[in-house]
Amino acid sequence: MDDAEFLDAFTEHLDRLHNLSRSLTSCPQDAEDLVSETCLLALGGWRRSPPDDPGAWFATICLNAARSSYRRQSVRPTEVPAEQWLLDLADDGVDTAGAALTAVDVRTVREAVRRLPGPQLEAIALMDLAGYTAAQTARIVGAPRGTVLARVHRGRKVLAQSLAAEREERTR
Amino acid sequence: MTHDAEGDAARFLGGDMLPPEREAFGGHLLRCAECWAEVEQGRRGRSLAESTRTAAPAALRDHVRALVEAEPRQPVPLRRIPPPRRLLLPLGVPVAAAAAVALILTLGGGTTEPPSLRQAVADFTAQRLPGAQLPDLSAPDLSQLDLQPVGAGGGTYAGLDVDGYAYRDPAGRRVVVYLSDEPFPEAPGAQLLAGPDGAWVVERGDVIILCARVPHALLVVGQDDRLVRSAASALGVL
Repeated sequence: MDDAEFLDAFTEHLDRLHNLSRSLTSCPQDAEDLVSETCLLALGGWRRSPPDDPGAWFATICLNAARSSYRRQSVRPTEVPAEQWLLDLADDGVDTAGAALTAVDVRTVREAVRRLPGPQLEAIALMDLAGYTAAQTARIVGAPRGTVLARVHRGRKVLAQSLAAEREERTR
Repeated sequence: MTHDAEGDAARFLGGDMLPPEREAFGGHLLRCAECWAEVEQGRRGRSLAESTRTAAPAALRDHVRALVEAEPRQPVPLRRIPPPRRLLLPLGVPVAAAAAVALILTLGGGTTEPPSLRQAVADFTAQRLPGAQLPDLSAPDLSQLDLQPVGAGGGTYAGLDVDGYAYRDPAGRRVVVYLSDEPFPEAPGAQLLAGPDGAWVVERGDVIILCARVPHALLVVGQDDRLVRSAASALGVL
């Protein structure tokens, strides 16, 4: 197979893969390493047989490489049960409905995304950061579409509530 | 009216409602504070997450290009057994025959199973796990196949660090997923599967072994061929 075609396909999806990697790793350097690893793994597979949906295929490889990396380093996304987190926030009496979050900077949001439980983190990284559809995300993570929608919604809620709480904390 | 506010909001925001249902839910939102808050928080969270999107740095594009250009093509390994040399026949038929048998047994006869695979099959049959160490990762989610985790443990197979995750379905059928950081060796007589990952499958008695190396080094072992393939597919390797 033609490496030039691979390069075209990979660079077409590079922004998505970069955003996905940024959310799955803790620093820009690790994210770039993950993109590089994804590129080499995908190149080997592409030379044997190009996939039907390169974008989703690259994301699957990226996600699996990130999971392998967690395993090698014994570092995983924190698995805090989201429901308990929500309860804790609710107990604090945080009202997020009208909270303006414009002051929350990108780094704070990234950190909050990284604190999400693994399945929610992956769903948000794929759909909201990398721009994959719910159907593609379902195929990538190997879960039913409804499960993916539930995970992404719960993750978004946790994100909104935790950042609103953080902002309130700052303004006190 | 009883309703699942979270589930409805997730489906509404995910575009998973048909137009009449969507319209009805839109009307309901105006009357239900709980659903309104669900949708509002979902939208706000999505907007926050999307705000962190950035373009890949130009240096990363250059790096990717350099990686691809520098990556050599791997030669395709030859797996065919060379035929016995005819010149040996007149003088050394017994020697040539013995050498041919030894070659077949070594390379392709199916009797020299790599120890790590032999151990995986033996442990699967004996319902043992590779070891008692706690795996670094939680068990992969195979719930869509009705496979529930029933045990997990890490150990070593012939020098290969392996984590094993055992599952059962409601019918009692078992599947074990073995994960490793290093690729598993290919079994003699393995049948290569179609697809980009170079996966292969082989039968050993009533046990099916499906192996993938890219993007993840794993074995899926079970006795039901369809279940083994479904599990591999759910894990993203087929």
